[in-house]
Amino acid sequence: MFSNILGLGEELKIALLQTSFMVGTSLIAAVILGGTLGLLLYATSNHLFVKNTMVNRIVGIVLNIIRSVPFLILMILLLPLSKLIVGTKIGSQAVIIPLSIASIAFFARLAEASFSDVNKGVIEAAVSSGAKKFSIISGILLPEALPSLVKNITVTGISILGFSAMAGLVGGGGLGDLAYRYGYQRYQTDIMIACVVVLIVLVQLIQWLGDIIAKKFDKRI
Amino acid sequence: MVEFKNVSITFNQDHKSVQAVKNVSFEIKKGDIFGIVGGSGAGKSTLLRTINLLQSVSQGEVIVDGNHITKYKGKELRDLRKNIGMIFQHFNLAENKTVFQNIAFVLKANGWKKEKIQSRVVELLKFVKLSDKADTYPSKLSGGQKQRVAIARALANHADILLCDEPTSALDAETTTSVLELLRDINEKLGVTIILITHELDVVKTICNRMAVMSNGEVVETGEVYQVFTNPQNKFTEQLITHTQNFDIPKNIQDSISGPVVKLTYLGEQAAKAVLSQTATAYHVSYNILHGKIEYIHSKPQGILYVNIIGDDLDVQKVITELEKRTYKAEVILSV
Repeated sequence: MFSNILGLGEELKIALLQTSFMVGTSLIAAVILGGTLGLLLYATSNHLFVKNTMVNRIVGIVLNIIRSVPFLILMILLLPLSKLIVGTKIGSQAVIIPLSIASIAFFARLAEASFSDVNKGVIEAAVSSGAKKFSIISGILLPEALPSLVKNITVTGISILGFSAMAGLVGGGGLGDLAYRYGYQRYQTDIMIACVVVLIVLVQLIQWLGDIIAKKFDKRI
Repeated sequence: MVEFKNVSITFNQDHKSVQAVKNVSFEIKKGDIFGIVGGSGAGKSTLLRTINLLQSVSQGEVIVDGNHITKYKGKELRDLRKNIGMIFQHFNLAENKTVFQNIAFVLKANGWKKEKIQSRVVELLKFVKLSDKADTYPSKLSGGQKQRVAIARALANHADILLCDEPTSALDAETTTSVLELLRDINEKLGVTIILITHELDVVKTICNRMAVMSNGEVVETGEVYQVFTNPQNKFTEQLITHTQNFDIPKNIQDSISGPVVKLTYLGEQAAKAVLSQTATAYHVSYNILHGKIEYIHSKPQGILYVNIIGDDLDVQKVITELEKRTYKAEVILSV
């Protein structure tokens, strides 16, 4: 039954690399840009920082719209943008644009929640000490939110892994695509199982790593 | 040092405006340990927060060191806050920072150099007696220790004023005493003016020299703590004070006694015992002492004695008049 895998070791390796590339790039974009948007959402909703209901609402609505569109549709809609940015409408490179945008919107909301969970009193104490807003964000808000941010980065990483399975539709490759083409379309069940096993291991690995890092930063016990 | 001039604060909630502070005016002098008391929702916390503008003022003026601060912004506001430390009921320490890092943060944020930060934090920790806890995280500290760290953090920039928002309300009685002693030290040794809000009258009685009483957003009485406690001018203040020193005569005693019960209050050097023995002989009455205690208000004694007077009606009337003359206050609280 497992005869097909032997001949496809190379394909599996390529698929794993493609998946890692797509997930890794999008996750970095999500953490940097999504984190910044999350911070913007938090700061514009809090009178201790730069309360601005207008900005807060506009950013919130845009993020909600992106999150409302099913990823498959979002990917197709954003292909022209991929052409503009990375010069192609097919392959893993083309997929990272819609994948990053979906991840950024996803993580922005989670990051906002992480920041909001920081004890308001601790922020107030920092404000009352005469510290600048930038010092408070870098010196208090980020370190206090860090364990929660790491947990949410983990959740985002695993979700991106799920989204990336749809990349096959535009020739993006990856493990999900391999499982679909060989496992489902060619009835090679062993390939499908192998891909799923690799995905399971990946998810466990991301979760395990995330938990360890989050715990390391968390001094509350 | 700090002056409130016709300060009002209005909140808009669900299209309704609520006036949390109403036309408050009073002054806190340099070197005071000033207590603001009142029930929850009286507006004390809101008022306290106007001093470092954590709370903006709707109307009126807050004057700190001669400066009108209500319109302060940016650097001006940060410089004001540097000079005004603040501590909170729930300590508000950064949980993911060590004791050292918590204090160092406010110094770093105010532009201190690294070597100076090190020595200043060591000095502060010594002052609050936590030198051995520099590298400990707050989760490993007791409530009293957390408040000491918060005090060290609040004083780090050499503040002249310390705002205390219910500083002992989350602490047990023993820790409360030690934190209050530390606050008194700060006032006496460092010359820091302390403004403290609390719902615990005992706290005010122990360390404050002057106080204000708030009810429903208004300041109903201000004055020397000893004066306010022994001779309250306002009905609400009187209720608040008698409520804390209340002594309920047990039902079975109430039923078994005959003759009036009088509450005698005597201050400082007046001694009740001599008065009782002298009047007992002179007026042919006898006393049955039900309850007595001496309280120290800002280190001055106040004695309270509940006595049941037994004797002829006429003698009893005469002796009450005599007691009114010879004690600070004699109130008939039960006449049988």
